[in-house]
Amino acid sequence: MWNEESDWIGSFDSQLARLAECRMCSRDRGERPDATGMDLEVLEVAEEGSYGRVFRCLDIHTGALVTMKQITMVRLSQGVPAPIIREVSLLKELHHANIVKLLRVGLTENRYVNLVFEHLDYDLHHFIVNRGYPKDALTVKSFMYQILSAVAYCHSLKVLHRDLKPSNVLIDHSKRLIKLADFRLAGEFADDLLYTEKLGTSWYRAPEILCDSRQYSTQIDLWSVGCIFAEMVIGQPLVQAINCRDELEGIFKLLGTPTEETWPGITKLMPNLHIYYPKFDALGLETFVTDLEPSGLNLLSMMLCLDPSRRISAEAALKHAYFIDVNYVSLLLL
Amino acid sequence: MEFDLENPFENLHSDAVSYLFLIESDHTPSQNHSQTLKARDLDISVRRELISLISQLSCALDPVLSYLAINYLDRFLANQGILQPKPWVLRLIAVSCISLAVKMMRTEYPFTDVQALLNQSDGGIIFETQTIQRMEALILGALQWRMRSITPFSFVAFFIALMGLKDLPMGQVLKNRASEIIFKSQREIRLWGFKPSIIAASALLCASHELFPFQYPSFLKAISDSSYVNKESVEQCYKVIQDIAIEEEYSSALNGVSSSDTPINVLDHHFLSSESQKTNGITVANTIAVSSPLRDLKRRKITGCGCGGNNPTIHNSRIQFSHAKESEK
Repeated sequence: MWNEESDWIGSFDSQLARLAECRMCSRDRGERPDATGMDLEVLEVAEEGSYGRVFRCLDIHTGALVTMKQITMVRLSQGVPAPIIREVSLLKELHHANIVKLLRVGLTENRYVNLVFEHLDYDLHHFIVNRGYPKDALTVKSFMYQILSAVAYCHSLKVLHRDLKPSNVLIDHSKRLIKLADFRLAGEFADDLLYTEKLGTSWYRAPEILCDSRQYSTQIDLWSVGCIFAEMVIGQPLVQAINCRDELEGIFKLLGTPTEETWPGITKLMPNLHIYYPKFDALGLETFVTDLEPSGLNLLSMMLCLDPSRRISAEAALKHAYFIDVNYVSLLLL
Repeated sequence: MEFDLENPFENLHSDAVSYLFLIESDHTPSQNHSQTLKARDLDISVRRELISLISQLSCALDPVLSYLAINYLDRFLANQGILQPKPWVLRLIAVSCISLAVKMMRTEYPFTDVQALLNQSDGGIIFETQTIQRMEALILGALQWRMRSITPFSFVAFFIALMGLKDLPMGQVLKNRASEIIFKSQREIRLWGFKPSIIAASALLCASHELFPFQYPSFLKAISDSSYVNKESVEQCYKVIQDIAIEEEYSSALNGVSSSDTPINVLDHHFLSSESQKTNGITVANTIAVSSPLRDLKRRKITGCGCGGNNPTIHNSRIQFSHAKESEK
């Protein structure tokens, strides 16, 4: 709040002093996480990536657990990097119950930007691997509805997630509440592609991206959601269930190698398609995704549609018959 | 994703429009701060000086950049006033606001060119990158990193559709004129506390009254009927904006008629210079007059004296002009 007595210059000077102190701390502590001035107690390193690191922290004031993503800044000759300003400013405008909340942003001198997010107990990957996938059909449906709600909201603002996968789907276990995390909006971080490749998340990548198309849009997220949907039902990544050389071959074995009829534009996108991939007949989703009710299988097939222009949108998916019996009250209580 | 003042979130659905109205107050200096600021002449003069600096430093850039930079400035001032307006601090703030605006707009200018431009100065002050970065960090913090500003431009298309002019040439003409008015009115301290949507509605009504007076009543009704708009706020805002538009006509007339030696030129306003017809989808007419350096010097001199009011001679001249206009009707 604006205060008549506030001394802006004094404030600037004190911030300068804190920044200088921060720098000294950083140098002394070597690899210690640099959270000076953020009023956080670092508990552990949760994740290492080439773009930066993720820490589990305790908020000193509230006692709440938070997640701090520390991003290394590059190109500092131009002040605070533009990609970071653009990305953070968009994250600040995402307000949705199913999107993880960015609580605070801090800058350390010449090195890091610290993003402080609310913390949730688990991610869906952990849930599937360690707790057995959510075999309860109602839980799967509830999770799917929440994921699609968040995706539809983002797409209405023309924001893509670009890296949807189970580990980016956070779960508040006691409430069965889903929150999407780790938006990479403009893909401007220098190591973005390297980071993605390293973690082998191509299992959730849409075929148009695997074909190296540079013209993609919101549909890529729907493909990823479809993969997550299947994984919740069968307990492992869908592509992993198929014996295949690479992800694209797995997709083609599952759905049939595309033709101009099934995917208009494919011969221009991949002129050498039939040199690299045999002409597979579709094995069909129902071969691998058993134990899913017919309307769920129908929705899944509309998400895992090879032709991006015919793939269902998040908004339309929410109105699909699969969700017709979703009890909104139970969704709130779950 | 590209940041565009007209579509800060590139909303595609009507729900997103509701969203813009819902959160626009978060991107606007609050009413309380506005009233507090009005009571402080020092801050008002500081704001005026900062706006002048920003316009001067960014005159070679897209006028939308200046607009965004001044928006950041206003929100920064609302968050923390400036009690010690040292010249180098003011310049650093101006440079940092422009730098942040450039980064958000993802301009086509190579950043080094922008940096060199910002560092040119008659005072010879050149800031180290680290200094600018610290100021940028301070401003980012004060604005809580919400740099995707919601401005009047975010609402123009919505109101034009409401007036039934979407995709019509008439709508484009109105939009162009309203955009001109929005650019000019940004300097006006009396608009400080109005929400961007109210300013957009008022600018469009002012433009329609000016260009399409016979359709004006139906446009007024279309906007007044909107549940998003507070009618009283629009009326108040409209009056201020109409004053600004009239002053603009007056200044243009003076520029055309009088020589540079005439004392009444102290009324000249510094207009934004626009070198391109199309700026991010907002067309700015090239008819905007650019004041001469001499007039700028005179204006600053008057401001420095602390004498902000009109003297009787100028006042009489203005009344004369208004009277003549009325008699023509």
